[in-house]
Amino acid sequence: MTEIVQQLVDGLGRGGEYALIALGVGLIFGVMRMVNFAHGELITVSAYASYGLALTGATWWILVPGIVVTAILTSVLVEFVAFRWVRSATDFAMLLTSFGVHFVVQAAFVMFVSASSRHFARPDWITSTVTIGGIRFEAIDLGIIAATALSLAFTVWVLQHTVYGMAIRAAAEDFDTARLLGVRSDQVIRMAFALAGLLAGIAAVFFLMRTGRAAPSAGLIPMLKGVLAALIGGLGRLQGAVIGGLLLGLVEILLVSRLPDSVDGMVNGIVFVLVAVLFIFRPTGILAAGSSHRP
Amino acid sequence: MKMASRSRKQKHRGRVARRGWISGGGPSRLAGVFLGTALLFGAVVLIGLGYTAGGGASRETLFTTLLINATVVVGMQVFIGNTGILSFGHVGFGAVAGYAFAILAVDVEWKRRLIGDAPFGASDVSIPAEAAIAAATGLTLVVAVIVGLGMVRSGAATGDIAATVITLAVLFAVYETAINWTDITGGNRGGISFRPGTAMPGRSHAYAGFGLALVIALLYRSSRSGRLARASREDDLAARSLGVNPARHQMLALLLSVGLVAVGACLRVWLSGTVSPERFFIDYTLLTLTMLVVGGRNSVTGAVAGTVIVTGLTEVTRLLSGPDFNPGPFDFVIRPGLTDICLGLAMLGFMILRPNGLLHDREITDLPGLRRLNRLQRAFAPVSPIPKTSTSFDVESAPIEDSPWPRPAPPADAGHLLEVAAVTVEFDGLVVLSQAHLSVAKGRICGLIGPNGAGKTTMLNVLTGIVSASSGHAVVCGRSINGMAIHRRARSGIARTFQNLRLFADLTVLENVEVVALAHGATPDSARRQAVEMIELNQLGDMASRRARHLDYGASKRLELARAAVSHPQFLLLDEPTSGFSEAESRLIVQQIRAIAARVGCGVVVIDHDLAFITAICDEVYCLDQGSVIAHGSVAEIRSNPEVRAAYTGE
Repeated sequence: MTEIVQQLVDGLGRGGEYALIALGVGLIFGVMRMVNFAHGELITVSAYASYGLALTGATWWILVPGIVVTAILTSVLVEFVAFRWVRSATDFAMLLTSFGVHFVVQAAFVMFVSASSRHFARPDWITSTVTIGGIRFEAIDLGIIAATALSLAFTVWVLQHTVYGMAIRAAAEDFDTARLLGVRSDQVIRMAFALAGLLAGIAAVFFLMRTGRAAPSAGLIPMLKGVLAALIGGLGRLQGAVIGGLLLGLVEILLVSRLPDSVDGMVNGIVFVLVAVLFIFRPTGILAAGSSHRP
Repeated sequence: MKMASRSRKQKHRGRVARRGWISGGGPSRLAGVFLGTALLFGAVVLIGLGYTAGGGASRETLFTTLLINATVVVGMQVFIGNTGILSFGHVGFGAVAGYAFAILAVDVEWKRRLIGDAPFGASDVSIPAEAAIAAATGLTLVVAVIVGLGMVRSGAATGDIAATVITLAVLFAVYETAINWTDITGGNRGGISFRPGTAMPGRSHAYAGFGLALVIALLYRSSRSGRLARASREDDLAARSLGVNPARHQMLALLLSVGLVAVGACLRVWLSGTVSPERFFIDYTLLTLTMLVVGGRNSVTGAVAGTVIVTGLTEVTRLLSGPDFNPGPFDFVIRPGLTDICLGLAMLGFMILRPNGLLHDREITDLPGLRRLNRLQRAFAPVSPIPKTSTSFDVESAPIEDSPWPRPAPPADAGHLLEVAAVTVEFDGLVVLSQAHLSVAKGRICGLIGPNGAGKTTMLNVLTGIVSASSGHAVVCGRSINGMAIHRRARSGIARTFQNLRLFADLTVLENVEVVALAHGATPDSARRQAVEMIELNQLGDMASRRARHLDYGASKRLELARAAVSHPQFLLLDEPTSGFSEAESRLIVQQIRAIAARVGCGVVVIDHDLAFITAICDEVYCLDQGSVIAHGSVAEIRSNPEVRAAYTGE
């Protein structure tokens, strides 16, 4: 029982990170119909920013807002530099544009910093545990769960109660109609990228607290997990992204704890194959209703 | 006015003249494939020999690498270009082939030192390299069949994104397997390497691989399957509704594609003498995808050109990183990462500025001097048995009543009926159709009217299988079509147009019509004849070589009509053929629909809001309101029906 609760919390902690990334992927898909393979670069850039800040002796009290602000600015900047130009392009061009951004950012860090990873100090409390009701939890898992819940509440509030949020939701439903009704596409898209950047920044904070490492490919795996989570839940369904993220985290923890050690290094591969099998049976995600498209 | 339009037309002809036709079939198709192979092969060999003439072992290796990469990229083009599905997984398939090849081909003594404990007795056998390539390709194809079954199933429903993610899964799963299954792969450290001195002898194998890739890619491109795959690349739903089964063609494209990539991957391993997980992972995916999109993924020539250009680019960055070059303060350009950043920027730049690459879908055989071999001349040979005069309309003087075609015959027996009975459709509890029925005889034109949201389009969607009904049944000419797949319904005699246009945008007008005839089993020659006849009948003859995306609205609508009619359906379903038309254009389309119905001998179900049009064209009318048939009868009966009036005016 104890073990199950611990794993559940562990899984929710990991899944919370995925959910934050997936929600960003879903928001961007909503306004642009693009699956953003460059979303993980927000984490990469934030990682190097916090490495740079840490070099100047900054504490985590400064690193945390630094990471979040970097992620937001990077997100908006990437949209401005690259994605703005492919708004009405084909799926194929959009996918490869985001893939290209991923590579350029990664290669730029290889070129201008180093191919090897840089390390910075993790916060002291990262390894500490909290005992609740006789069960020991890792403090960071509880932190992530709390932060995820807060971020989700904030996102829901933005989407439900602000003008921009409503515009984003309207755009996610039917962008063309929303535009005809006066929603300004430039601003909506920029807002969606900023919000996605904020969520990715919060995910990055915990990711970097855990790893304390900046590497050119740091964002690859979190990005892939976020995209998978968004697809599992059903692209364009924001609550689906959250459910997909949590589910993915739980399944991973389950795999890590139940599989024999010899295949420990293959968890990502196994997760990919499981998701691929899921797509064969539910290509539009677990939340998708039957086919309802109208030609 | 007339002058202006003529000069525009001529200018347009000048522009499209560069685009060739896809060849018809038979000997000229093979001639085109042979010519294309010879030209591309010759061009690459000339460039390669020219560069290696400068001397140096690294240039020799570069040329061989170029040939091998071209084999891989042309292989990828077969799938990505023809189906339009982005795949990250081809390099993963290449890894499967590369490992299988190395495990089979490395000599036993050497192998025992590397992977002595390999399962399946793999360390105790060794076969000649050529046989190993064949065996490795075979094994990879088996993997591709399994993956492909999943991909084509999921890709159909999601606009390919799920299919793309499945290819990503292949890449990662193979990579992690290669790292972790150290007993047979040698793990991440050394991988499996050949005994020094047993690497690829000479360049003949690379030549052979490249030649094979060109022949297969060009053959597939001009094949029926390749052309139908491209139709569903342009619009999956329209292709299905017109009788194309995309899964079949995507699967065939995947297998040919993976086969070629496997051969290329084996050669790559053999040339370098080693295989390790990183050699077939993201870096190589980036390199090959960039090669493919720079030249243009939609043509074999584009794939080859992109490979040559990107190879040249990487060679320049390699030379810059060499010891003889001192850039002074700009020393960052010689650091690692330069090649990747250039590749990434090339990919980005092309996706933003020229997403179809340098060549789009042009092949080398489309060059003006070579077009004759593609039978351009025969395209418009007079084949239409319809007298010219009868196909040209004059908008001003086209009286609706005096149509040159006889009015349709009265209803016939059940073998000539389209019948829908008691159909109910619900979306999330909302009843869209409720116990609706419809009965149309071949040769009759039947209108379907009703206010917006009455369920008219849903009725067509039920008939074509796009929407499944929760109850009821549909019969075409005595044959039940309940539960049939979309493309099978099309083949059993139902063709349709769409309310919002769904043309194969990147194909030419002629190709749009031709692929549908092909999907219905016509031979290439007869498909060409039927298509030419049908576009003449719809006054599209002088736009035959235009891409559909460049047509004006009226011509687009006529093309949809021509495309549906060329399948010679028993019943033609038209969703708002006059929407967006002026009165004069509507009158013209009346003539056109009658002409087509008479020519094909089909029944027609037509949805429209323009009651004058419905009056002019229909023999009988059904009126739907809130999902139910509220009236059925002749036009006059419907016009005087109080319920119909109430439904329209809301009284």
